[in-house]
Amino acid sequence: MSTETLNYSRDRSALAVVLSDFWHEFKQNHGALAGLVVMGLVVLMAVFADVIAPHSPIEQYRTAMLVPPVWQDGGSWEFILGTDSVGRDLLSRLIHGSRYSLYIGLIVIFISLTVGVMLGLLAAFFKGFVENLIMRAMDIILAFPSLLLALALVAILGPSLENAMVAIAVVLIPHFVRITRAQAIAELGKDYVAASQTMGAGVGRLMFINVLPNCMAPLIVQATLSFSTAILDAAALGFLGMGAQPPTPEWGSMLAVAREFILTASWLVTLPGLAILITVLSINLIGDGLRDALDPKMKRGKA
Amino acid sequence: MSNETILKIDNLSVSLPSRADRAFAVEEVSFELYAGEILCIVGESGSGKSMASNAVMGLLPKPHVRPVNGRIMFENQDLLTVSDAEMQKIRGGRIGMIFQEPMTALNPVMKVEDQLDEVFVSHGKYSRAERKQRIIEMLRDVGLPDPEIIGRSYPFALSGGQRQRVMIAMALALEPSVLIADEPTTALDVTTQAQILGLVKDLQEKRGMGVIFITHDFGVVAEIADRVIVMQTGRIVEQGSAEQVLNSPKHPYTQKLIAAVPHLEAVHKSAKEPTPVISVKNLQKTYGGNSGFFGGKGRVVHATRDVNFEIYKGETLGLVGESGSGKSTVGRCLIRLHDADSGQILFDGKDINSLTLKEMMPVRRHIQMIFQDPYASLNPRRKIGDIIVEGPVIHGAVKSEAMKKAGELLELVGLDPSALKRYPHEFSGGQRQRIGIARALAMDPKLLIADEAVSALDVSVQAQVLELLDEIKERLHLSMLFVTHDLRVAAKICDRIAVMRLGEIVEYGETSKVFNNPQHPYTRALLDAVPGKAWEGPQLEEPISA
Repeated sequence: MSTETLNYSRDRSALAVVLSDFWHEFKQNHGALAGLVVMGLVVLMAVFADVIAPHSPIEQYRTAMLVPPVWQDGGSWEFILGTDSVGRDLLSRLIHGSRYSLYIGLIVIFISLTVGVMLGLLAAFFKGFVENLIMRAMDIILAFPSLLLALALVAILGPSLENAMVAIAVVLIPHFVRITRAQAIAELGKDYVAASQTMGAGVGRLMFINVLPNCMAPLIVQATLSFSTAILDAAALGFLGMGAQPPTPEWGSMLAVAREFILTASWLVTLPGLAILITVLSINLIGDGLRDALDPKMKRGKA
Repeated sequence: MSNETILKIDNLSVSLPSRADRAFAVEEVSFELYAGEILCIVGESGSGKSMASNAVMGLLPKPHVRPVNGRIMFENQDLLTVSDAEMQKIRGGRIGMIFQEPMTALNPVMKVEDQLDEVFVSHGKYSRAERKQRIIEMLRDVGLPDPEIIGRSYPFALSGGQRQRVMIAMALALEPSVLIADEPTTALDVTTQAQILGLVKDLQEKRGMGVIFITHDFGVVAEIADRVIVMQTGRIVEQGSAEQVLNSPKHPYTQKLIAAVPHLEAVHKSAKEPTPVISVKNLQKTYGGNSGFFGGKGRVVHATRDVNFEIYKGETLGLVGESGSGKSTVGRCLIRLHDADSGQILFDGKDINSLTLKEMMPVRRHIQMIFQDPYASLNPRRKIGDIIVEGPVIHGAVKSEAMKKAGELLELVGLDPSALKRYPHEFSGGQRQRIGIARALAMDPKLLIADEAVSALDVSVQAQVLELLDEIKERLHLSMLFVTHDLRVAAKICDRIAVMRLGEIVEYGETSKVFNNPQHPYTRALLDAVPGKAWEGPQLEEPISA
């Protein structure tokens, strides 16, 4: 009998190959690289907030209310970005606020990803009643303007940061369900799944060991993009007074409190707004880069 | 055949991007095409045969793949130096091309006549009325019935063969002097393939064109070629007249390829003990038929009707037929990937078809399947070892012992046991198919179902895998259901054969009887359609494979 010689030219683990291919693809996108750098800085800021921040985010300096930033007349180096109406240091509040933003993003993504993937897999595996039930429920959620639905949910649950996160997660679930279901149905048609079935593999095994790992690429992309949506929606709820409650230094609620000073102390509105903008923008850029690198349908024509 | 040279390729080299596995797709290739001949370029996948023709058409994937050396002389110009606008005129106008997959090569949202019209319009020929008439003529020329009706159809409404005819009509619309056909019959059924080959030969003779016909199938070569070029890894290893290359090949690679072509002759196998391992009685399976959303009746397709057969211990039963004949459905019903509507499948005294999924579990051990596409049948995210031991572990084996056995199985199928820790993408198609076989064997099956298991493989790899299957079957006393559309392969491996057509078995018997004395007209038509059936192949000594 003849034996084919194995081609071991690439003597690296498959994971290393996949990662290096991914990195090669990802770094072609300069916007995504910039986003990654900015996001890295935000993460560092959140982790070391206690060390970096010059003041406590909630301590009120009664002697220094509405101090402008250092580059404006009357600014001082003690409060680099100025203080708010009750004398809290804006820079410290922004630095601590990044913690809340990341916390909101991570929790929301965790909830909506796990629930969404589960429902999506169920819909893909159990055609008929279960699928219809899940997908129509998702259609109903999608039929509401997302912020309005989140607002209604928070109104029912009561205004707090935790409830706002739950509400946002619920609003984001349908996207994950749809992506998971579509991808899983495509994978279910492939022969490796049939092969596993002929071995007698049960539904759980097919779902989590065979199908799910092959559905991850678009889910990772969606998770990244939803991360920024979650931050934005949380800020919006905070601005409407339905999210984080004072004195929590959450960027959205900081904007809400600062609204009445928009003409007299414009830095109080501008700076938290910029913080939200920069964070969301960099996450979106990373998401786009991930999509280019991970989603084969979006891959640019290669030789 | 005249000796007038119409296309001359001189020392052509085409470079590949730096990340590819070799530096040149095509290296120092020189050949000539004479008017009125069919020149076949043969080679296995990756041999550069399509790249050579794409270079002629200026269709290389820019900018990474480009010609770096040589000349392509056509009508006193070097095609490598003409401008894009010039090339546009030559392409389609003077050189026509047809592709492998007629569905993707036609625009799905345009009517056939509009697509043909576009060819004329883009080359600025004829008035509207003339064009209309020409289109009808063209469609009639390629043997399409009712050209007016076909012209007004969309591509999806046509069969594969009809689409390929439309493609040919498009390629020949402007009466080119050279036609390049890149595997035009590979995606077609054998009877349709025979018709298309006949058509190409016919048109070529009528118009005196030169045809470059790219194929991997030596049967096709034997059917139509005047001259043959054999390519291996970007180089021409042999060229000569068809007679010479097919019957007295000089180069060892050509010899190896030709030796790997299975012959249509049925190998007579000793009669096996006729104890049935599995017997199928009146198997029925229909698809569709559910009423639609608005209460309309869906179309009912009878995938199988009243299928009866038995597989004996230690034999291979071939299930042959064209696409849509229901042969794969039968295989999948046996293993309960599909549920049959009615009928019995008796295995070990139990009717598989009436078992619940739980009762089916112990039976699954004994029936295993090998799939067609070696790229889709292995989970890309799991290591080979995990893939192979999945079945035994589900059935309660200890993982470490199963792994040990998996290593032995890999050796049995001719792979190194170190493959256990690797991922599927690191293996070639043939190697993956071996892994698929090892996975099926890990369950200690009594019956193997091979669903087109060698159809996606190159001919030399195909021969090796067939040999492996045969050897394993003998050694482990397995029975096998071999589903295939390829009669040559069936002749080589099957003891008995069942011919399927439109869901029914029309002929069933020993391979030698079915092949030498076919009773049903459909079987005869199938056998007649096998390309190059008259070619026996040279008596070569079995080359030593690497």
